[in-house]
Amino acid sequence: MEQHGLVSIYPEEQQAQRTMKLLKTYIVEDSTIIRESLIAALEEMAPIEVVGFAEDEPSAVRWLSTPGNVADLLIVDIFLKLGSGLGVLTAANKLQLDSTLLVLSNHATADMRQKCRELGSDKFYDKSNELDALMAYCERLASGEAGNTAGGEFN
Amino acid sequence: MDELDRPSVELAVVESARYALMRRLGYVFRHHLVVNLQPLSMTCQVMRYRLNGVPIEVSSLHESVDQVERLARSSIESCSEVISWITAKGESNVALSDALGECLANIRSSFSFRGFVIRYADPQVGASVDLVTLREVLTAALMATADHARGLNEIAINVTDDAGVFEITLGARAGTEQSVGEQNPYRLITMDDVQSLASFHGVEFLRLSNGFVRIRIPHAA
Repeated sequence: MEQHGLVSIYPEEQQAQRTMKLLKTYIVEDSTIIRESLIAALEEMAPIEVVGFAEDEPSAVRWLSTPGNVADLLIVDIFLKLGSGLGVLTAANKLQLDSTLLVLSNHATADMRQKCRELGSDKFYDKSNELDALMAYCERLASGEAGNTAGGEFN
Repeated sequence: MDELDRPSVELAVVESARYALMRRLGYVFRHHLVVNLQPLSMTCQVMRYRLNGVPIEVSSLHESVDQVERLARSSIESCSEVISWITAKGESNVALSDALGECLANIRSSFSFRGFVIRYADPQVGASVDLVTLREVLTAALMATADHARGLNEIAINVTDDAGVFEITLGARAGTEQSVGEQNPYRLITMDDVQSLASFHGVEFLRLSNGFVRIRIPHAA
């Protein structure tokens, strides 16, 4: 996967980029066109290296359960070709992964946000209008500054 | 017979069923409308990012513009498809395999979220059906089956070709998946809804003794 490659012309940003690590990211998204565009955008604009993806719950859980497969960040859609993102969150919780769990979904209802929070999701982003907030959160996460102020709150 | 020439009570019953079906398919329409627009937005974000880069790589911008054009065209097609659902008009004669594939693709993720698995073997037949008829009747039948599955979570579909008429038999049976969640439906779809839609389209709809249902839909002329 292509890495976060553009270098800022500003010295202070260059310093920040040097200290920022790439987040190894696993994506669970069943729409090919959305997944490909998302990966391209994330890898170019955020400190992210996508290490794999799945289109359904069984494939995602299989990858997460395989020893040696490590991700700093999981980005999970809710509605999948088989199973659901809720099942992926449940499995990730059971596996006690040391990963940050983000949900990126078109179904950003209050009920769904609540359900995802109960299943261990750290953040929830609306796919239609919160991609900037997700990128900002990734920047903060990579720089070790991730708090609870980068959007994606469970409102 | 034109829709407006039908007796008003009959039409009202059909419209009720169709309206409920449309409401239940709201998420499908939303998906169709945004599935190309969201990547379009992402591509534009990347373009803006590249335009702010030093130096600006013209070739990468050309790639982005090509991508924007492709996604915009796909978005137009998606919008037309949604309109054809709502107006119940559109391309008439479609190969049964393609029509079935479209219906199942539309509901698959929602059914999967509810814990249902759909078992279906592509009939691999060349004959066509009226797409609008199959869309409404089959989708309503699948929803009604799932809505009243009472713990059964595998939906089996079998298609046979009987002398110019496709017989699509479907029903719920015990499976291995576990239900994880329910969407917030407008209301449940009933077999009476399916019956009214089938009658409106001139399609035979049978409720079998084993709890399954059968749709008999003629080949399109």
